Amino acid sequence: MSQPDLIVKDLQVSVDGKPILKGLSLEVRKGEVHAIMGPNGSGKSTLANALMGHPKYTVDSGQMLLAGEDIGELEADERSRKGLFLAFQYPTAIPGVSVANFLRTSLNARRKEQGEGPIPVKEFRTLMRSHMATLKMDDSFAGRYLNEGFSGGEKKRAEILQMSVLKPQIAVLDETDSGLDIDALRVVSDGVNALRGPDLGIVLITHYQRLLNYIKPDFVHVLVAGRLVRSGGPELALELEEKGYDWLIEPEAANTQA
Amino acid sequence: MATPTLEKTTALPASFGAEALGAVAASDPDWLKQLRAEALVRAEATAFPTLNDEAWRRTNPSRFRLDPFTLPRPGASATPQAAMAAVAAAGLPELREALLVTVDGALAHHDAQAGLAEAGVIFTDFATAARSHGEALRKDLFHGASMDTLDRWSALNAAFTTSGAYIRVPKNIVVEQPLVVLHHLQGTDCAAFLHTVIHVEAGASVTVLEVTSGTDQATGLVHSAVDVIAGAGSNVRYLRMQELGVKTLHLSRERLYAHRDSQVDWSWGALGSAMAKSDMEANLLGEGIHAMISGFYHGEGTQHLDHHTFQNHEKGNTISDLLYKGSLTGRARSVYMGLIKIHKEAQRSDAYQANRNLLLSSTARTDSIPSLEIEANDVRCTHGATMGQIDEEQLFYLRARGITRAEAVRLIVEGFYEPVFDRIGSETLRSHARTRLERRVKV
Ligand SMILES: Nc1ncnc2c1ncn2[C@@H]1O[C@H](COP(=O)(O)OP(=O)(O)OP(=O)(O)O)[C@@H](O)[C@H]1O
Ligand SMILES: [Mg+2]
Repeated sequence: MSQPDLIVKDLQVSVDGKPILKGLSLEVRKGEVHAIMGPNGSGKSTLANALMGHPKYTVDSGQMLLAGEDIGELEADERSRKGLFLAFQYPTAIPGVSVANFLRTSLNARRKEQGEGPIPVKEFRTLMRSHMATLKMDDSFAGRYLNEGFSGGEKKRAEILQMSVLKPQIAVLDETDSGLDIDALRVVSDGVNALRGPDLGIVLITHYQRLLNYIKPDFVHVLVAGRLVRSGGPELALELEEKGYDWLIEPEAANTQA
Repeated sequence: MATPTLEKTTALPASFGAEALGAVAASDPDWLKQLRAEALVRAEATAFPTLNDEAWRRTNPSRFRLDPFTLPRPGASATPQAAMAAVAAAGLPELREALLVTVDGALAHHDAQAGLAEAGVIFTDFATAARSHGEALRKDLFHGASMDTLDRWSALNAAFTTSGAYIRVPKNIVVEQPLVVLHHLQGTDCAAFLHTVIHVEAGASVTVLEVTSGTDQATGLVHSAVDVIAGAGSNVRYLRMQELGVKTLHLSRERLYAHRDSQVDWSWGALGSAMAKSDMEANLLGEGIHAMISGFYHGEGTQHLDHHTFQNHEKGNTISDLLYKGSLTGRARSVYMGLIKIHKEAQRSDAYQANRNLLLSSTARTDSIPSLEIEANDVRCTHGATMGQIDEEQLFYLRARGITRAEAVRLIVEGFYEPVFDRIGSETLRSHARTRLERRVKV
């Protein structure tokens, strides 16, 4: 079997001096979908942000390899251009910057990295419109300021729109299902499934089995108190749905939470 | 001797005396000669502002001195080539349907379609207007104010007006193409006094772009006086750009006189000069006026940009909506002082005033002092000032999409200004303003 495209090795991460991830390892190959589930505050978004290189998240030890390359010292924009994507749990609003302008700028940054010139305006518009249509987004969306005044569902769609345009190698989707109604969940899942394939590895962070009905995972991992405490197949998600997390919480973790 | 700035000085340098006046006024009609003489008397009778004047506490008036400078000797540099170079540098080559260019205070280029004159529109330089449209210009200068009401700098402008423009749109005439005026300064050690007068008669409509530009080699001082008279029910779209060179000082006195039911879309971009102070007054003189006043500025290096605005609601059912936004980097500094005044009889008026600043370096500085003076009781008023830095979360979000730090900062800064550009109703003016700002902001 090929070498995993994303390798997280014994990762320890702290925020403001407080340890959050306490030795987390994960391997993801392109073509695979890994679901990560876990209680609130267990460190799921911390993993996502640390992978992306958020300056507030300090990697104390461990390694992150993307396509065999250690990305630990790279800036967020370099990681992105190397093919890593994070769909944020809480996307930030950028006032005054339109979705289209932003998308074109980020696509061109990637093209530049690959030695290509900027995408012609017409070609970009066609590309963007086709992805927006898949995600059932109105054309007028392109002119709106990024995430400003977006509803919860619109924000999540916009994240998947970006993923569709940028075509990453590895995508981490942090609670992309939260705040979506049933119809929107289907649309967004369809959008993700359309991208699914041998060129993309997905890490799907979610609280709900519901999403996994739409985007079928190959592996399910349970993150509790900064550690992956259990990994398995899709059936593990069903088990969690039924039993909750308590049965997986290690005694000492349970004590500190009590 | 104590700091000279704290003392009232009335003496004018010898190069700004009767002899200089005679030279400037040589080919003027008699009425203007006389007006200049009255203005000089007024200038000599008043004093330069000092640091003790509230409006000058944060912008050292002693930086604006006349003695190192002389009036420009017009003529030699005002060639068509110089005019075209200035047009290109100011980003105006697409806007040449009606274009007037002065270089170092002398007319260097004048293009206007025949249609304008046929419709009775006056679009000409100051000296020509004084000769050909003297009566009209005389009434419109300073909105007819008498010389002895002017402050020292304005009186100096009236006395030594080197050049300028006169635009007059007759009643109910709608001018489609934008009228463009460019004043370009490239000489050394000159003090130039420019006066632009725009009178849009009742029911008329016009779009005007006025640029004051200069080369970075140019040294000296530019004083601009602007009178915009918006007649009853008129529609005026006006963008003024200050893009002087880095060694030039700039003072300006902008006045809007809006009459009943006029719609005014006034915008102002301050991008150049070493030190600039603008004193803008919007006078809402009749009912039903809607005045949008938008400002954008960017300072870098040691630039100092000072803006004073006055929204003066004399009559009721009027709206003035002011938004000034600026970014500063290096050791640049901005000062904003704004006053809203609603007179007693100006009931049911809305007045808004906001000044927002983005500091792009730890050594940049901004001061903002909004104030209100409200005599009526049935009004809606808001005012506010903010300053902030680039938001780290926004920066991370953009970088997480592969955008470099520099590019991300640029996007955020451009986004910061977007609400100002959004307000500019004319597509031509809006895209010009945006392009010039984006060209200037290199982060
Ligand atoms: N930027 C931050 N500043 C301060 N504390 C943080 C920050 N990010 C995470 N934390 C803390 O780290 C812990 C883990 O948070 P994280 O967001 O990773 O949890 P999560 O598993 O994503 O939870 P949820 O399911 O609620 O999204 C929490 O105690 C949280 O308060
Ligand atoms: Mg989270």
